[in-house]
Amino acid sequence: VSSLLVLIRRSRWRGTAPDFHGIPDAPADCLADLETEDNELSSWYVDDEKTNLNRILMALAANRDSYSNIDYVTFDFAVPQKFKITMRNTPGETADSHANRSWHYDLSSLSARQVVELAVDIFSSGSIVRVLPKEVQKRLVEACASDNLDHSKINKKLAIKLGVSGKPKSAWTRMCDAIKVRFGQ
Amino acid sequence: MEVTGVSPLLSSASTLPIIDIQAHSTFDSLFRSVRGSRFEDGMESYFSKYLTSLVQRYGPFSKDILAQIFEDRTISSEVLSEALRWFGQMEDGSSYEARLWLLEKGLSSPSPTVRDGASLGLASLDDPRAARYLEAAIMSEQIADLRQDMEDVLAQLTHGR
Repeated sequence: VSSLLVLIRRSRWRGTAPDFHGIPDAPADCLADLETEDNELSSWYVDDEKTNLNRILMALAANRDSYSNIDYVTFDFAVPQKFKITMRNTPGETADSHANRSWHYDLSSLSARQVVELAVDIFSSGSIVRVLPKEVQKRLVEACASDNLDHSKINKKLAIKLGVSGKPKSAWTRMCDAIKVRFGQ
Repeated sequence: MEVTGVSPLLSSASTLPIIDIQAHSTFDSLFRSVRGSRFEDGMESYFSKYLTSLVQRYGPFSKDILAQIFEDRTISSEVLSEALRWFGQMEDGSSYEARLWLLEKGLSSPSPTVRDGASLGLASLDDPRAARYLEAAIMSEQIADLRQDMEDVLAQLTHGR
């Protein structure tokens, strides 16, 4: 089943579902991760086999200032339709132009009620995953060694840590980086 | 907010309490000033920049001050958790042992949000010495998915993954 992905902070989604007068509910802190701008919420399409999942995660990780954990939730692609939420395929803003074009969706024209319904549904049906900082670092180095990320569009502070500054590395340097990561040096 | 100099006065035992009070006040004000902020993983903020600069400035002396702040139940657990994440990420040799100690202590906080921040901070620090503290925290952790997250960090520290 294809799904949608939203970045979250896992600690906001912990615990059992609060029960409000017998109606399924979710912790209020969840809403902090579904913050909208112009009534839109950014999300990413993940295919049935999750073949594009890591590429999306690294595109998002490359927007950050530092290596950090990635917490995310995936939920059924059909969930927004249940609440009559409009979905638009719009350009994402990451260093991966293919991911930006192909897999970024805005949940648009959202009302407050729709956001709450979405949060409650995701809380009960979504799958929450954490990738630890060290693993993110390893995968980012690998992503930089591939052609997926435009080095000039990686977050400047992160680019310095990754040793990529604007221009793409040579094939030789990329291979050395990948070997270092592989063998933990 | 201005940070006062510390190094010359720290050599004099008689002035330590004054420095401690000044430093405590500076840290305390910072932690309270960002209550209600929405932090994002991996993104620097006013809080993270100022906190890391203060910890660098006070080095090992920040340990006792921060320990007191972490005991203060009126400080937001979200803010404490954010601080612990940055203790793991920042690069500063002089405060390393203090930060490791604070992270280990954070594992036993009554707040699951703070325990999570401590676990993530230790994952970033990647110091195998923290393994035994994580093992103890896992034994007493009541929240299943938080326990699983701690086990993942422990696996990284002990097996390098």
